Amino acid sequence: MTLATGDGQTAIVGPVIDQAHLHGLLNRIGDLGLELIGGNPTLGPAASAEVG
Amino acid sequence: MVAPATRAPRTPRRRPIERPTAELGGDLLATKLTPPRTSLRQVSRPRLFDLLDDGTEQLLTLVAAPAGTGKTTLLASWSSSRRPPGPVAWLSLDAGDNDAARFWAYVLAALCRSGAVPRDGALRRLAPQPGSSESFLPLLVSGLAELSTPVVLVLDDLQDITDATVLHGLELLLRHAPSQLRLVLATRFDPPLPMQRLRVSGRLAQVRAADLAFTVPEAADLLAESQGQPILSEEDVALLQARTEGWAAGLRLAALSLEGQPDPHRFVTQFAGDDKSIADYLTGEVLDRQPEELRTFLLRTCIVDELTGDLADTLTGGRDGESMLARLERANGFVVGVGSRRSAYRYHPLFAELLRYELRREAPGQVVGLHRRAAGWYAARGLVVHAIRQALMAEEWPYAADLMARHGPSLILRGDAVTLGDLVRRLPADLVQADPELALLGAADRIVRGDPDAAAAYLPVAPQRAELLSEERRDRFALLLAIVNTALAWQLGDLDQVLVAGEQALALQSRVGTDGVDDDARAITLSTVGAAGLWAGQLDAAELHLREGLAVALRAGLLLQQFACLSQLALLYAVRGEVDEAFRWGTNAVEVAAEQSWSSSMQAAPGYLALAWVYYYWDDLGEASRYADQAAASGAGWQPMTLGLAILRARLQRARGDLAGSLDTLATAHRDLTGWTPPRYLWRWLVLTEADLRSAAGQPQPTSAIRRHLEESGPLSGGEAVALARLQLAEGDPAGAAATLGPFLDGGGPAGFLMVPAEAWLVDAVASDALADHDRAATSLERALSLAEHGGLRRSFLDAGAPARSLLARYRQRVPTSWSYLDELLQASAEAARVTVAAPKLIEHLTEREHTVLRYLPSLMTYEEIASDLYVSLNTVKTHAYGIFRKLGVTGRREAVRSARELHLL
Repeated sequence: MTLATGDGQTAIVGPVIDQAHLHGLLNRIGDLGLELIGGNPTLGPAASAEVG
Repeated sequence: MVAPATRAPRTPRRRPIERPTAELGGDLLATKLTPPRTSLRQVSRPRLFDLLDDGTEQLLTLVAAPAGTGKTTLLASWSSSRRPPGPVAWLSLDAGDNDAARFWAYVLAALCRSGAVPRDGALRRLAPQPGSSESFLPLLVSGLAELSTPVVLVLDDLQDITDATVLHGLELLLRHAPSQLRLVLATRFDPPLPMQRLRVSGRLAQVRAADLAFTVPEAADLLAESQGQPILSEEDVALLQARTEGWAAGLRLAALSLEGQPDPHRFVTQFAGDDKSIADYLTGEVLDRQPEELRTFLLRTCIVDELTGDLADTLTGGRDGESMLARLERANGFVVGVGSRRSAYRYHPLFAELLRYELRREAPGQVVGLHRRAAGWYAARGLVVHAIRQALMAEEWPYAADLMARHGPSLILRGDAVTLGDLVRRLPADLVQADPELALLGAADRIVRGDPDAAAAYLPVAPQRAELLSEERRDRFALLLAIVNTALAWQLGDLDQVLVAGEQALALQSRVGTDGVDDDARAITLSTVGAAGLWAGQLDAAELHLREGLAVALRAGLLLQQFACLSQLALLYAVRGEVDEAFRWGTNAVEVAAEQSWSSSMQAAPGYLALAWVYYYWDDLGEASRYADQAAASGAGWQPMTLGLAILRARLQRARGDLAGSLDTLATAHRDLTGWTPPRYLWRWLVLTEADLRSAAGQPQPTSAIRRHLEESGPLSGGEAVALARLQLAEGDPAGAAATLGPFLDGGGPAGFLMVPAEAWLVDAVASDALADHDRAATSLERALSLAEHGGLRRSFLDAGAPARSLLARYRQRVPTSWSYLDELLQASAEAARVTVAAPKLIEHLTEREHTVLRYLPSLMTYEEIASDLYVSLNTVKTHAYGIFRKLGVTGRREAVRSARELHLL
């Protein structure tokens, strides 16, 4: 996972291998009190989520 | 446990312990700690077994996949195969385990049950205390490190654990785990634990949804197993596997739907899409195909988590619940048996969810009624918590509130941690505020959570509101108040108040609750009041209460309460100086504790302390220390126990020749008394022990002052008189000693703490000898010898030191019997006198921070790891460690640990 910040938002980019992984990730974002703005599939074997 | 051969053989009388009769409640623990039964018809999946085999070669195996993918089934069947690298400790978690103390207690129980921990393993003596996982975890780690085999710890349904403290504890465990631990975590989503480090170091294996998905051949196996014969073509199986993406629950449901399908091929090609719609489709399909009777059965029984035949009958109104459940398990795996006992079943969680969804859709009007019936069934069986939960689900607020108020006393006294508070909180807030009983339960919840101050602040308000209640409920309220006050006083260590409030509770109990459901509360109140009486020195009253408590608990099949009474009775006899009786009851209690995995429970502590005293008198100091340690581990934090232990420890240290250490122990005990007034007898015992040790150390206090001090707070008891007479002898006042002792010698006067007749006669013999009454001295010595020989009380003579030794030597010819025993005592006493003080000594007290660091030293953690655990720098830890070494007079970590253990700092 890599983090890219800017514009008051942070994009987390990296591979999400399956449902359990995704839910775990979303829970963590929730636990950190971050607001989830959106999630986009990217080309190739990577995915990203933007949080603010 | 076997008594050493030098003592007369003893055969402890075994008291009958009844097994609990409750069908579900008493054994909930067991179903949490046992993997679900594995079905015979299960598809064998060697490739997954291989993954688990490889995974459990090292620290962590993560099984992360969504619901219905077969995680639990896989782990259960692997656990019961011969493949795990060591015993498997199983723990099924649920949302109720988000409490660190409870979570770690379950983990310990699972480990102890697994067979990996030997009978005397350190893990059996561990007990997590509320709010102290920081100090508990290093002990868990070092306990695991001493195991001789690897142990696999399976934590199933980890997704239900959200509490940060518990998760942090797991993280610490992962970071410091010794090589014996093989952790398997099964969860619906990736846990917030630092996996990256483990993955990089190659100590993490994963089994994920993609692994768990059924392959086409596996799907074919599963379908064939279910049907008894293959009815689908290879292409159809492949299609089904593709549509379900190998999802186990989907395939299982498909197999069920296929039963009796006229055109299986068409069926397979019909359904489409994602998991949810497959589930809906198949549930509808499966349910629609069942005979009406079975369908009704499934829908009506799905509302509870665990079923028995009888409960099923209550819900359906039928009579064949038992055979129906057995058939369902055998025929199509709708239900699985849980626990090792016969008749408990549960639906697969996902299937239950689907059934409940279906029920709400199809017959929403029935849901409330079913919950109400379940509540009634549980309530009638005393399974109070289940009853309340069901009543809450039925939204039957007044009924739920009534159950809580009625059973509140037993829930509070049982200290069933979080439960009651959680339940009260689920009621509508306005209802709770308007009802004084429920408000009082709210206060009780604070007590249970270990915040007695908040509860105490609240209590004065509650009685004023009681006027709102009807007359009948006012009585019940008074009872509840008395119980809350009892529990509160107990937690604060205010034993006098326990006695007052407890007696009041007992009186109200016999008036208010007569329906038998309250046996639990009565047994607990009796054992609480009995224990308070015991520690407050009211031994006769305490004995009556404890024996009655034991009888009530026996009658009602309350195993834990029987155990509590056994353990306290053992201590009562020890305190009375009835050593043999204390040994019998204490041994019995310890055996029960081992059988029931209660060795580290609070209730075990009095039994351990009793045995520690017994072994002390038998002059087996090693065993005595061992039991003292166990008492400390299980009874930690309760002040009377701490003080009682300090007194014993001081005597042990003195017996080992470490007089300075023993005075230190008592000084520390004194210092720790701030803010707490010990009960009178315990206080007097402390004063006398201290005076005795000082006199032995050559710094005597004037006996007359001590005596005046004691008599201000009440007349002397027998044990106190013996101690005082000994001081008078040391002071050179044999006439005074004889006078003090006189009234008690033939069993007159109250016995009190540790009145050992052998000691009384010995003191009398020494006094008579000093007064030149040689005939009396000889007779008294003879009696002391015969009592001591009979009871094996060597220590009583050894503690009496030089005067006793000289007496034995000079009167040898005048004492007609017991020469061999007399010679044995003489020799032992001479040896004890020769013990040079080579035992380790603490040069200076450790600081609190040094104590903290000291507790880490026995573990395998490096200083660096200790530092990161304590959030301090490496240098700080090193400074503390060197401080510890200097104060212990040692040069290294290993030596420090040994020396600290000998000094009972660890």
